[in-house]
Amino acid sequence: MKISIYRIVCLFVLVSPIKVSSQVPEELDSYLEHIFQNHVIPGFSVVVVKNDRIIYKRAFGKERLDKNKPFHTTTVSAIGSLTKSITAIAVMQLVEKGILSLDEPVVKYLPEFRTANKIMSDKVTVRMLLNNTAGLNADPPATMERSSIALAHLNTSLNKTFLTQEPGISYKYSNTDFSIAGLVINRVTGLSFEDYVSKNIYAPLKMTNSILGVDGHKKQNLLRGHYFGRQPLPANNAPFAISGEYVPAGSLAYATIEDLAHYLIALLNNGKFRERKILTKESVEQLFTPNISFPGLSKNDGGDGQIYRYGLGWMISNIDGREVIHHGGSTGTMSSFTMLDRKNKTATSLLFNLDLTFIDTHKYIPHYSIANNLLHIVNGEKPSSYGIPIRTDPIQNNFGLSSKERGRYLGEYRYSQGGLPWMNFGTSIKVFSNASKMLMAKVFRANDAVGEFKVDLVTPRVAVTRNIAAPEEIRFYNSPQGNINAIQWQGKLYEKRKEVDKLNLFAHDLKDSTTIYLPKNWKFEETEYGFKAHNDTIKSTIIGLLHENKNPLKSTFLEKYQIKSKGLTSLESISVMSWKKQSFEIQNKRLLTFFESVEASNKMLVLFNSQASQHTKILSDVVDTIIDGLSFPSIPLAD
Amino acid sequence: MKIKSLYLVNKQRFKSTITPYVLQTLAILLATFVLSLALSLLWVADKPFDTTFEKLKASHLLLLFDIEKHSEDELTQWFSNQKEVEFVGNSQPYTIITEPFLFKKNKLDVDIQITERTEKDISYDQLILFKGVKKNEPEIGEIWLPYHYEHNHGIALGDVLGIPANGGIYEVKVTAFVIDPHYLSNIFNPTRAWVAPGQLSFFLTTKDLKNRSIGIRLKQSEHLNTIYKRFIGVFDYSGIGLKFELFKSAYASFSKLLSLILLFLGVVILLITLLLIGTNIKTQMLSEIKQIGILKSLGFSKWNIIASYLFQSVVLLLAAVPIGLLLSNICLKLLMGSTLSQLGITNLSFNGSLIYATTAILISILVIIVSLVVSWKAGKMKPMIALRLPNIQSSNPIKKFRIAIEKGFPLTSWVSVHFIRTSFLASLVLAGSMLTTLFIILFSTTMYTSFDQLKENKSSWGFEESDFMLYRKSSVVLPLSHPELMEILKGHKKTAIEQIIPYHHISLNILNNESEKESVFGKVYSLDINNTGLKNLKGKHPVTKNEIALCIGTAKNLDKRVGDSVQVEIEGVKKTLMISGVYQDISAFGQGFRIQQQVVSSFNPLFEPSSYAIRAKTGIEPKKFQQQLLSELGETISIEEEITERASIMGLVSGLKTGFISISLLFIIPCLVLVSNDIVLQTKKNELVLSKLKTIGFTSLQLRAVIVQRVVILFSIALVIGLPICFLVVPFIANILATGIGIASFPLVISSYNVAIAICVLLLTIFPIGWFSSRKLQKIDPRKLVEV
Repeated sequence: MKISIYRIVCLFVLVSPIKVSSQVPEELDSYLEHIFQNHVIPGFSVVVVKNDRIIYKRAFGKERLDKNKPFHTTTVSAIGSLTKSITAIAVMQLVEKGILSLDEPVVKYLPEFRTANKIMSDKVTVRMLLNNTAGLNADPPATMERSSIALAHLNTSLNKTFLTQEPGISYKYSNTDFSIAGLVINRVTGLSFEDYVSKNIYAPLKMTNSILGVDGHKKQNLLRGHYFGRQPLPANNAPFAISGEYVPAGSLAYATIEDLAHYLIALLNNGKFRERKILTKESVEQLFTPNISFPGLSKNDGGDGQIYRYGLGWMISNIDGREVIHHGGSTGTMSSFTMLDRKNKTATSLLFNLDLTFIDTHKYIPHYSIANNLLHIVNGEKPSSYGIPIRTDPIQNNFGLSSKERGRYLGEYRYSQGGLPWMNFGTSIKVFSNASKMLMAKVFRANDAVGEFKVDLVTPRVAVTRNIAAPEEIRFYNSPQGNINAIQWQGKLYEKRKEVDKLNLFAHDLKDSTTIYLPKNWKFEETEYGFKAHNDTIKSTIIGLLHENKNPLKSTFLEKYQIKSKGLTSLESISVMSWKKQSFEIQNKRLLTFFESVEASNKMLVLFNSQASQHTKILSDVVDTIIDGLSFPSIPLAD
Repeated sequence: MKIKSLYLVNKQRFKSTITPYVLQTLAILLATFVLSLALSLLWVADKPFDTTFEKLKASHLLLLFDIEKHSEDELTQWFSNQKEVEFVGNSQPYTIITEPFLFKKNKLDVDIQITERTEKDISYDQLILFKGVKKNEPEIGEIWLPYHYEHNHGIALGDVLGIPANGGIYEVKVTAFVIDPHYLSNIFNPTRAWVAPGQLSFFLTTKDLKNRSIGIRLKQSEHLNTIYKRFIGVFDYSGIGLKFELFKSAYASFSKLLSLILLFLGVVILLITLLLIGTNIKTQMLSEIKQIGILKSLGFSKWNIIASYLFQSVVLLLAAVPIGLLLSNICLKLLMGSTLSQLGITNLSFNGSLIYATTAILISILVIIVSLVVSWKAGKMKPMIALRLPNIQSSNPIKKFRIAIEKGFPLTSWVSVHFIRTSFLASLVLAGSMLTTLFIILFSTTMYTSFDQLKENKSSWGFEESDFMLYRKSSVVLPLSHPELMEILKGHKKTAIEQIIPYHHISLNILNNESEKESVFGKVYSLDINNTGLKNLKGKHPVTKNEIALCIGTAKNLDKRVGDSVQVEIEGVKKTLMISGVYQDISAFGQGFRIQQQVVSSFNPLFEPSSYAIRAKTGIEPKKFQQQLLSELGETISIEEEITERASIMGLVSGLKTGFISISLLFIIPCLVLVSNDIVLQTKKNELVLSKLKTIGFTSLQLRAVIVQRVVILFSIALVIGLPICFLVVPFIANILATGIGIASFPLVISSYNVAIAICVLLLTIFPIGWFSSRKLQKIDPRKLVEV
């Protein structure tokens, strides 16, 4: 009898409709409308699920501030580090199949995995990769390669890094950890990471618009997001194309909010979505079981001072008295936030076209607060103030400068060192004075504005940035005579650049209306494939291959000149484009350098130099000048 | 008097007892050797540098700059137009690699300035190819390393180095080791390596190809400072200017230090030698007093007698000094030979004759003066008195022995005391020599202990008392603010943390006058410095926002004292601070400052410390606790070894400790020679008394005990008198020696255990030597009494 009643109860639970108050969508609407109206987010999409149903989905605003296309629930947006949870699921699937073991050393699956101190990297297990305790660098070095080739390249480049702390004892957020996990998947399955995920996760979850890898991105009209300015600045050429190592396992997956809803349903239902099961209950539990902890959001910043814990690709926290599972994603121009309340079987995910990870929380509500409140609302609770800083912004300065003093700050400061070179190369800060005689700064990548802020001086040498992002300290350095010659910001050094004497440049127009600017002492001639420039003084030649048949010409060059040795491929940012640079030694001690455009594949410059030592930089500067004059097809943007 | 007579007298002396003369000869030889070697080394210390520098026509000034800030053409043109300039070199691209190189799959943790070898005029700034195939410049894919890399890092020709760059490793093959006139010393970091023209573009981005080096050679090096001052006056130069003096002092500093130590050692050995000679002549005189009487009665004048002793000393000098000088020359050649051959110097313009002559004359004059003074008394002696004098020696000891025996005093000891009394001067000399040795050993032991105890005595060296360093990281998604981290750390105060010292390094400009600024790196403390355990040499720690404490070197440079004021530029704002104290800090080589956080915070409210010196409670294992903190705080912190545990400091300390042990051992040897010599002389001098003692029943063993006990008693006296003196003098000398490393008050640690060990070692070395040297007593023949 007891059994019958139990069965009936179970049956009732399984077949009964989800009890969600009809007011909930309205409350969610009302809350999100309020957020949208009082925020700087240009556009975002949101989904809320309960049990195995989507109970709310909606998008707000526009995809780009400079276009009129609205943000849809079908807009493909970057999920950033939420990709890590996908990588973790992929690993757990292989654990279930007995192909992988979480606590086996990574070298068992990737024998070539080693840091310079092998004794330490040999201790790194698969679990440590997924719980961010391996101790590998947060970000991998850049590569031109993508997908699994990129991952293989990453593994090679790890050989020169050192693990400085015992693996497994301390949390250290690392994209590299997950990239290596992606390579492990590739190695044990024989499939590329993208193929594996597409087949084993995206397909069963019907995540039809989700993609991985830059090649996939190119096929889509992807969002580019917005940079931080005094208002959001629409981004054009986001440098994702060179972040090969992030592809695919670290942070570069794209998805729609509808796809993410399927993902959330699977996570809330022990790995099951509709009739397909991607993971066992035990494996899902493993994902959400804490492995390591670290300090959470402080009370001053609106948290409760409690620790956060990390499972496998997921964070686990006690927020407002209940346990939630969460993870954010950040790409610099877009962001995502996902939160699960397993007790109430509710979950939410949000995709933003602005990186809310670094938003000024004194002015704007952060994404984790929004997600937290959505779950409160859907569970019939009142929104909380979690994430809203309790301390006021302590920095309100407006240090006054005389006009003479202000003049010392003005000018262009070019990125010199610090941070991730491949993320920052080609960036510069232009400091200028606005009409109100306030010091302002614009951050550029080549000619693209990728940031703007007011320079709020605290002292003559220390300031904070003022825009929609959280204020950051910026420091000015001066020469012995008091002239400002460098800026330190976000751990990077920008040095003031000498003014280029543009009067010495001469414009040469090509048939296809491209203009080449060269110093006056260079002889110029247009050729069948582009142009040729020669300088007698330094006995150097530049050949521009600017047409579609560039690649055969490159092969011809390499075949014609016997290559004795070649250098590393480096990434250069000149003008608005990224370039691959590689130098070769050819016969008679002559040097040949190729500059090959990353985005515009038909553009290539070939440098010949018989006395390269003295003139390497001169040639580079000339190339810089030429490229400033070149026109490039703009990459199509979503409209 | 005929020379023949002198010869015969001395021949008889040498024949009768050769050992003391051999020992004296050895002592003179040693003094000559060490002194001449020290002076020669001091003289030639920088000669190889000068010779190499001139031979290779090296630049007196190296400008290292960024072409985006300075125009290489403008700089080249300006220097070319200066009348003092002989040559302006080519602008050479360079880069400094600070990440570890890969060498045979291991980390080669060195900083190297990789420069393209692109000299336009190969007659200037030449290199010497120490090893490798001769050519003007490396080929693409090759690297030329400084010659000391072969020895110091075990790199061989043909080895491959991986240069970390651009997220990859660019491999280069070592094809030569070179002598670079600017970087002759291996203490330079970074040092310079050479690659082919254009090579840097193989692994650097064009953005990174902006560093240039230009060499400027002057007609006369003396003009360097004048021209550099003129240059700074014209250009707002923000690059680096490496001057000739820097390269020279870096090269010669080690040799000069070694020379000075040797010189000190040589002087001490010379003093001991003079004492030894004086004692020997005195002893000889006393034992030959009858002979002196006879000689005088035979017609020897005062000067004849004196001359006989001088003749003896001259013979010793003639025997020892040339050999000493020869050995010194050989040793110098051995020491310098390898250096010179490495540098390719075949005709080093070192004329040692002046130094050798000076050393020989100095030592000879001193030996002769000592001989003259000591033998003066013998010369003046009247023949009759001389003939009677032997009675003075035998002051009826037998009677006193009986008294002593009756009183129960150990007989051998009494005899030992008697010998000390009867040969007071010799005993004094021996005690003095042992005192000197004791001083050196105690000095070395104390210095050894002080360095050994550096970790336990950190605050006196300028380090915070801590077990490890914790750094707060601000570049993570959820960073901790200073108050938040402090709150967490304070949570451990009950169980694991004894003390947290938060501070931050900043640099500020100290204005010497309106136009001169000196940039100084110092520490800003976020708690009362009085609670850190740190000490001041003078004054007190800064407490208010108007106070600063200066490190001793900085205070000296600025000529400031406690109570003076100093104008500084903090965060671009000028402020006058009062000097509250002067302290020492070895880590900054005497340079730096300490201020309270409120000084900076008053200008910059954003200021927060990021470094935390943590001292764990007694019984807490620091390593385990570090792991606990890492586990708790994750990526918000990083932890590093406390400074005294870092390899660089440990290596330095270990080297110094070895040095002090070596010095101790070096000084024990002359002391042992002296002891042995003294015992032989005493045996000879007291042969009659000893024979008498044997006749009354002393065994050979007891006789040896008498002699050895005398040495031990003298050692004890030296110890009782010397120990307090040593500990008064040692700090004084330590302070003088440590001035160069920024320490004005050397943090001496006197370990009674180590001192006891050192004393025991000395005693245990002296005792067997004494025992061995007294072996002749076994052959004392009482029948000699009959002969006498």
